[in-house]
Amino acid sequence: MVKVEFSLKDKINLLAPYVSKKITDQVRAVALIILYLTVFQTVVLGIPISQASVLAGGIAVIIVGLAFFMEGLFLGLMPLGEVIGIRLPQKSKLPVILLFSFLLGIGVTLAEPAISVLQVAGSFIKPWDAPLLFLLLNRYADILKFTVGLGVGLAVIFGMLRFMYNWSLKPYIFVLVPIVTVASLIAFFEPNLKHLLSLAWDTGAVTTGPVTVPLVLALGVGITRVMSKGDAETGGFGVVTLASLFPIVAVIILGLVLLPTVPKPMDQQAFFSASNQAKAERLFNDRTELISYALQNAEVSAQKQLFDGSRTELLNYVEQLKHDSKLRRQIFGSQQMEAMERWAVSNGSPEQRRVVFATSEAERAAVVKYRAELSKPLDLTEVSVRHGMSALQAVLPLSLFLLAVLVIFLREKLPHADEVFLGIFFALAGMFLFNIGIELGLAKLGNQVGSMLPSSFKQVELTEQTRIIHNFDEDVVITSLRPDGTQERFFYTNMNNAYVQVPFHEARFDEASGQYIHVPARGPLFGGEDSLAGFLVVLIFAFIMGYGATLAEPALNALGVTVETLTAGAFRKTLLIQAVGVGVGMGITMGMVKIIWSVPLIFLITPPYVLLLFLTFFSTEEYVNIGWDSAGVTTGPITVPLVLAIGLGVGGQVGAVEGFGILACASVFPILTVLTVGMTVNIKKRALYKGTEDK
Amino acid sequence: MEKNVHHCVEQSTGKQLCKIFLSVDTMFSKDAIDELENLGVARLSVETCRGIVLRHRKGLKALIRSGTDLKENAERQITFFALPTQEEKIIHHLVNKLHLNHPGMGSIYSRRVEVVRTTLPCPGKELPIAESGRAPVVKKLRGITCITLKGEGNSVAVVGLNTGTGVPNVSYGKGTGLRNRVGLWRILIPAEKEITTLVVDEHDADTVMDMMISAGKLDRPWKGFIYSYPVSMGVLNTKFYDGETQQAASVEQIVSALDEITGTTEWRKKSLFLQGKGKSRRDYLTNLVDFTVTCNEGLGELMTEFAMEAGAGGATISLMRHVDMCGSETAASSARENISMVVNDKQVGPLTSALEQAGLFNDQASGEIVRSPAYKAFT
Repeated sequence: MVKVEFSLKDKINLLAPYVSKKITDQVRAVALIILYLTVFQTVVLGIPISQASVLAGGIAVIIVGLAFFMEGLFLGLMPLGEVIGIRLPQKSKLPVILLFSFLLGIGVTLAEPAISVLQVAGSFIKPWDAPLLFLLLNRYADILKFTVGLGVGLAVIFGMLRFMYNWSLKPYIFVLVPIVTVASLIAFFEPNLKHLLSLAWDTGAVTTGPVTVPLVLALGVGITRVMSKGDAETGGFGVVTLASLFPIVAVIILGLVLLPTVPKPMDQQAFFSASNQAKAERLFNDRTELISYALQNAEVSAQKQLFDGSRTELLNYVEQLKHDSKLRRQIFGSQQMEAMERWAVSNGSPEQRRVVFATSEAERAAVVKYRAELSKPLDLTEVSVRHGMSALQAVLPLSLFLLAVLVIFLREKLPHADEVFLGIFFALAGMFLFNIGIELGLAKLGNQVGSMLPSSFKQVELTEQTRIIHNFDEDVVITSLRPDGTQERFFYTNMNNAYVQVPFHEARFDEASGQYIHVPARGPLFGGEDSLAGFLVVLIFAFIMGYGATLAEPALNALGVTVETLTAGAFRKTLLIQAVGVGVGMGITMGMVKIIWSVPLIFLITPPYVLLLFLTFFSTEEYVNIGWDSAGVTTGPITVPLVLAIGLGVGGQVGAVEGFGILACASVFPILTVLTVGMTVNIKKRALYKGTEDK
Repeated sequence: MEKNVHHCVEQSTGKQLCKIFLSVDTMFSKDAIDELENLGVARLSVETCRGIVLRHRKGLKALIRSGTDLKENAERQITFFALPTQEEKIIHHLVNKLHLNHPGMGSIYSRRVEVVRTTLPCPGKELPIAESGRAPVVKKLRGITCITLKGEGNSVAVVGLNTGTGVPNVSYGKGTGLRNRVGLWRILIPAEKEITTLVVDEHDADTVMDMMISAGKLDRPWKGFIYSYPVSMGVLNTKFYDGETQQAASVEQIVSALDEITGTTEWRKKSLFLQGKGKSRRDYLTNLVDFTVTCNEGLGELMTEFAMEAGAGGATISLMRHVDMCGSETAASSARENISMVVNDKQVGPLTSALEQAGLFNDQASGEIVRSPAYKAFT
């Protein structure tokens, strides 16, 4: 065939509209959530955005990253998945296909970066509050990952069987959902499993990430194109649903197996007490690790329990640490004295500090030194390397596995190989940029809003705006009286040419240096402390945030495009995304309800699932497929960090044990909305046709 | 229920047949396929498309801008071959069975084609069809197919609705042409195309085609391709608006009743000539053949390359599902590709032999070539 060479001008003429279209698409996708978060923080909460330039840069990187990633999906990963889907059933026998499916499921889970997000979320779980959960997220994190992988593997197997034999998705749902619900109900009455429950539901939501979903979808579309006899254009769906449900069961089973080995939830003192120490140690690798954890996370009274309740023994141990560099390494992760000093400054009790620092001058110097360190400058190299590795991990092994299956095992030529390779490269670059952007832009913005959000119902300290007032003189402090006669002290200070009243806290005044550390506070903005109005603002915020974040989710976009293509444009991507967005908004609102009023997850999840069983029964196969699959897709890289930030922010202020479960809620409600949309469309249609036929 | 005996005849060449196009809502596509199976049709193809009708804006939307927007509906287009002698009988039968005479239930039409060469069974004997009631069949129709960039199909399709000449449907396809000759730069040229099909009365066809060219700005480079071809007869959907009507009979029903009485849609043409006033003179291509190749999925691009080497200008590939209902032992996969080309009369021979060399008639491809006349084309 005659090759046509483009001139440079032609190339630019082609490239410019292409690039601008891809970028505008993504700008449109992320615009709402970014604008919303910014406006909410500055206008509603009235707090300026800090580090605005880094944030803006991060957001720009997200947009470019998303554009690359989506293009990579459509050029590389999805065509690759589809071609395997078409060839696999033609060239191999059922057992081989099932083996392939199982390996794919496990591989996909291990490569999924979002799983580690759960570990981050679990980092503030205390072993005495939820021992089993703590064990699974720390010491047995790998076992947890593998169990989830096993669940996904089984899910892909059953999904494939469905494609091969043209089974409906409904029976799967009618069997699995009750199993999951009953298992959850049983778990709910065991204090240890109760905390695990939310995690179990969240793993279901998280496993199906932005690489997995499009790939599995494309694979399914390919297989059904070859295997379907009847009339099932949307038959390629369903694996995502199963991959959301199977891991829940798997994690609950794992919890049941490990249950006898862990202590019951109890308070700190009891947890570290001599009678419980043997059981407590099982949550850690050894006793040293237990002590290390206690020193860094528990109260002094609980730490003492490890040393037979003796205060001096504990201090002796600290003294010993000061001299034993090997032990220091085990406890603080570094044999440098600095690590220990840092610990003393941030976690140590006054007595412990005195042991670490010889003089009070040394102590004060250390405080100043390590406080300043908290706002350490951004290390771009470290961020890049970390995200580069995670992008490689998410994209490369999976693509190589699929390529190997296609070329070595199926002995097929890869059509448009250059395009696919370029696509895989785009996906890699996109994922890398996108993750960096999330960390520097969206997650930062989310964290700011999340930590400030509670100011709508509570007083919150704006640590970002901390100021040191030099030459402080206690004489300026004024005493005032409350109506009930209690005394309150405050002083005036000049900030930005305005005289501001500041409540006086003795602890923040350092007489020796004459410095007063002023941390401005805000809130409660709406009504009094813990007012309903304040909570309402949080709930409304959660809804719009969920909606906005969903519009930007890459996997949902890929699903939307797939649906649109399969229906030749009759089922528009925008309709699906809107329906799912509203659902996610509702779900995240419910998740906040769980956290604010500590409503058990089971009460929020069971009713919608029961309702779903009914809706599923009456819905057409098409909408059941799309609706259930969109559930797994919603909780991706944009939603998850935002949800976590808000969950941590609000959860921390209201004292929730764990912030899990929001994602699980965010998965259920979109199914409801999509099925409801489907029902209305079909009921309207039926009425119309019925009218016609009657005439 | 006892099934009719299937009437299969193996490979045939140069056979004159008619190709029947049946489009219905996805809700009824299973019924339609079952009905064809009962009838004894040996094989058929199913394509997904979207039907488009007008909808009056209501509520908030109407406040912002009154008028109409488009309502899109998921449909299936089912195509199969039949003997020309049974053309009308089959249409009658299906119209009655599937209630196609009610506006909005779908449409059916037939084109005369010649099977150039095939590896698949073609109808040989007549199907046993019981006499059924009459149906409002209209004749002397013309089909217009327009290939545009993805996202621009609706702007062309709406011409049929706005002029009241026909209800269009749109399907997806992939274009090839220049795209395959520029190496990796091809990813910058969008391959996704929308294929809009509209069947109108032959008297309206030229005007409508002209209006579609204007609506889709097809006179500009890279914008698309349009061609028209004869349609021998059909029962067309006359429901242009979504929703129910309050009158005893809707305008659509009156229209279809008049169509039925007169047997053509010629009586409707007056209004259109007024709208078509001042149309520009355009240079159309003539002496054309609609040259359609089908093969197993994955081979479409290869076949297109061979066809283009042999002189074809470009092609549109769309996906379809092949349903074999008589258990014939062909190697045809249920995932098939349909390659549509509009070529000059004289190219048919060379193209066929080029495709044969490419392996179109091997088991792996299980190909088929069908030609039918095209009136004129514009690009």
